[in-house]
Amino acid sequence: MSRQTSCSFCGALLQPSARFCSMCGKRLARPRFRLTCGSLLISLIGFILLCSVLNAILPGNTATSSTSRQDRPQSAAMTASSNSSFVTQPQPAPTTQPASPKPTIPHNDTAIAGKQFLEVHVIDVGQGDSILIRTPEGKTALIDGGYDNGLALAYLRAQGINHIDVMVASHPHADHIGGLVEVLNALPVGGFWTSGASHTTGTYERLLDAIDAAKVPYYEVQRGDTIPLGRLTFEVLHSDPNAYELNNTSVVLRLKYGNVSFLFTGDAEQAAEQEMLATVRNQLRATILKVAHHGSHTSSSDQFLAAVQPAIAIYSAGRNNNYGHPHRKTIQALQRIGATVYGTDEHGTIIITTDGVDYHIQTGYDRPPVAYPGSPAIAPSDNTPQRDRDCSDFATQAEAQAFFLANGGPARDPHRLDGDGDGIACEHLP
Amino acid sequence: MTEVHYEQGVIDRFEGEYAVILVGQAQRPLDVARAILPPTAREGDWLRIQFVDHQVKAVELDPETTAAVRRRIQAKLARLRRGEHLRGDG
Repeated sequence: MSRQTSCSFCGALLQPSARFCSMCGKRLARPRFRLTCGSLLISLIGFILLCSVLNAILPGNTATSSTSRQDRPQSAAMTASSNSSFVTQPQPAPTTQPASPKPTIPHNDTAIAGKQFLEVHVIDVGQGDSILIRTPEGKTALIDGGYDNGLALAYLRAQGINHIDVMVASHPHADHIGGLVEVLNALPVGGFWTSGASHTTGTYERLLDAIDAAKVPYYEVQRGDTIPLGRLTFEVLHSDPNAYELNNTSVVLRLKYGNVSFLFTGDAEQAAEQEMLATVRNQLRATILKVAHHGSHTSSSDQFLAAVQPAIAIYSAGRNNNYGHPHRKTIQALQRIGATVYGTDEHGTIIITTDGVDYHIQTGYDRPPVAYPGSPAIAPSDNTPQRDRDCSDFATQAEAQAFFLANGGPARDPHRLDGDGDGIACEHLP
Repeated sequence: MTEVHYEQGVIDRFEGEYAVILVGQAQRPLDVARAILPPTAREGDWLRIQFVDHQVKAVELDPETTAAVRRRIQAKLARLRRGEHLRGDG
């Protein structure tokens, strides 16, 4: 008996076993476990015991993925060989340490550490893109807003953001601009920047109406322009309103903070990448790459990735989306060039915090970086607190189920033992 | 008893084998196999969609709506480009 359910938020048709809507990314309200007080108490005691054991075993804080200048293979040659600008690109050794849901750097509290932190949040908005940037001086930028599913605005509110200084629409597809409409209708916005490419969708028309109603200055940028964000500036590396496909109109931005740089690519595909290689090849290098077009294989060509040389690559994609994003080929290409890969489908919202020298990555879900077998190993995992398990590690289903529940059950499943999301791990085991 | 209804939609984009169509007033995203669409369909084309038992059965282009919406949007965009929305009472 096959049946389908539909998402109560956006109405998309879904597999009955789906835990998240593949369209809007929202968690579907379908409780599978009734916890009694007794079982809660037992889980709590078990968790506390586990924590204290881990604490005793592991030296220092190994639960966060961070790199520091001391950790890095530093050499004079590397510093000397940096390109024309004075910036030295940090080349941290990739790490497989799972990131912690708890920040180690006090959130935007620069007074404690005496440092000035820039934060970049790749927000989990389901299938779509939305990136929040907060500068040490309190300026905010929002690049894209996902679909009009309320998630980007809810995230901004949860972060205590009450204004956006710089709003950028990379291009006019609904999975990038829908949420911008909601933000424009709710918060003061200092200015709106885009390529000038237009669309005929109702969502795009609402974007124009919202900019108009809120009296937000509207700017169109070209390659070579800059967008000011307080004392920082975005460099525009691509913006082509006349490209045949809207993805290739994408505004591509580079943001540099000290020695750490970010490349935000929108949905730029290979045609746009080729143009950038031809025109701004030596400006493409970035420590952290927002992977173009949700990890689609129609972007992220080998030549482009070779020019960017990212240490960290982050894509945004909805869980179980229909389009196969991110494509395996893209993840493998990123691994080949030595990037550590994170994705919002696997890790939830991903926050990079940097003082311009070191950076720290914090993820919503505690999982190892995205990797496919058959690609080069990304790093030795000696200091990984717990290696990734699969069903072959367990003799019986009951054993797998116990491990699955001890690791957060269906809500987290960091080892992906419950592929179909029905709350039962490794169903094929005896 | 089969249920048949029609809705307007617009092609937001293509993703591999799918066209992503924004349907109705709510602009609800719907993945439709590219093969169902007329071969000349492009991003931004408005469509008339026939649903049979809530499944997309047939799709035809609606060039009049596409042209009308494009004109309206270009006028709105021109206003933003000139900064007219920043002046006066709007």
